[in-house]
Amino acid sequence: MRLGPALGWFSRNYNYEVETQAPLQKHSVGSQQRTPIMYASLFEQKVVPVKHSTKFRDESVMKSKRISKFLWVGALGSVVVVSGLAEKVYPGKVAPSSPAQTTNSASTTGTSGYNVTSSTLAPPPASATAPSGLSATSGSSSSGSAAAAAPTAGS
Amino acid sequence: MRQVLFRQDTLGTSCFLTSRVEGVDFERRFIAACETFSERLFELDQVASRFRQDSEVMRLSAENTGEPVSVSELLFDLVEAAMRAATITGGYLDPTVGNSMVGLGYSKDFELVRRDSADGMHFRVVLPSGYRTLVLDRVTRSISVPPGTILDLGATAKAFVADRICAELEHLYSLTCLVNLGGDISCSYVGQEVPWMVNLTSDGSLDPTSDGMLFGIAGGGLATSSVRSRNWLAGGTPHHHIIDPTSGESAVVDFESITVLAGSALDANIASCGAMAMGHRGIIWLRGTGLPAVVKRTNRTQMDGIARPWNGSELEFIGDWPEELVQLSGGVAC
Repeated sequence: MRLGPALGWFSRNYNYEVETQAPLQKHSVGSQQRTPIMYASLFEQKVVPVKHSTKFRDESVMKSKRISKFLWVGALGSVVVVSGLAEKVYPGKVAPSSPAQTTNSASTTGTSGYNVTSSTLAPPPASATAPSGLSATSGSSSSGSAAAAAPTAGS
Repeated sequence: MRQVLFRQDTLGTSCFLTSRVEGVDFERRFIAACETFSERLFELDQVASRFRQDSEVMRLSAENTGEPVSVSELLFDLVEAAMRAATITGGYLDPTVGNSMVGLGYSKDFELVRRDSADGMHFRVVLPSGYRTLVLDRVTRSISVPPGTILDLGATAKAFVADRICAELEHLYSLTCLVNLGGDISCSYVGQEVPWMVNLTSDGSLDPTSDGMLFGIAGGGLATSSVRSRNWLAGGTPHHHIIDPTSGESAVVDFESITVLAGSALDANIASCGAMAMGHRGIIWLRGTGLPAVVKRTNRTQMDGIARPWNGSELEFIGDWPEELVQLSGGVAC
């Protein structure tokens, strides 16, 4: 079921072209007019829970979850403590808590929040252990998880 | 957990906004987010499009005399991001390659280039003035461009704006979202929650039903650079849109595509596009960045790493690339 309540709401209130199927390419040629929306679709994606591929993997994930629960509590505690300390020492200059935020050009107003002097590329945030869902094709790493899909990365 | 997807075809590609259905009043927030998303894409087109003469960047190129010109915040930020890309890649991603691009025939929307390409097109080689000839003044928000130079922000603009839109929608509407502008992906950090699933298509298309490799990312950015789709013939010679600024011609690419994961879409794009522009040296430079990447080899590419056969080609994984996922049951919705 791809259509959800959001679609009904959307089509009633906005005069956009709506597709119920994932549309294929229909490029806008030129862009001379203030009509940026050439083709729009809105549909919901459902997460389908799936099982892990092997018993071994199930067990290892459960085990790692038990361990990581304690680690996370500890890590969270130390982050809170450290950030509280930093707030006292450097008021208003505490680093963002999410790794993703450290490199985003987060200033949405004003001139560039980009640090032009930064000559290194920021690494991606570590993928977290997720409770259920898709399984990795090999190994018993911590990245398997459930999901609705999926933007494409082709270019 | 459910997701909602909004698609808009503009900027010569397909742009997507995906959000997770969560929190109260989600519909209202998401609809507002779609509006903001469209606005930002429209602004980008108005400011940075090289294919419309009334865009700010083309006016800056056409009217400049080498003197500082005050520009909008967005254009200044875009040029600044492009300069950062140039610095990091040692000049391989140069924002002054607009003239080179025009010389090779890429002077209009790509579908028109391809149409003219079929009728036969001439080309000429124009060396860029070089990113070091630009002067940016942050205080007066002005840019000095050498006379005659056309700026091309195509290497970084979409990725930069993807990051900015993602951060803005998170901030304004408290949405957990993923912004995909033609393959330049920026997404909210989801931490321990279900990661974002991304399909790396084997044919390089943006069609989510294509065969591909499915993997999850927790946040940050992802970008793919490829010359499969944007290539054309001029003067009987094949050209593509990644320019080697040292020659003014299309770079000699040793890879079919490079996909990189990073802390932001911009950084991922700098790494992937920069490595493509560097030719055979690109892979060494890319390894040096420490970023996870997938390199799809061309037939003639010789590399040291271990390659894995995949859908008729060979992939090399660099760094800590996430494991490929297999969906055991149920359907991928898009």
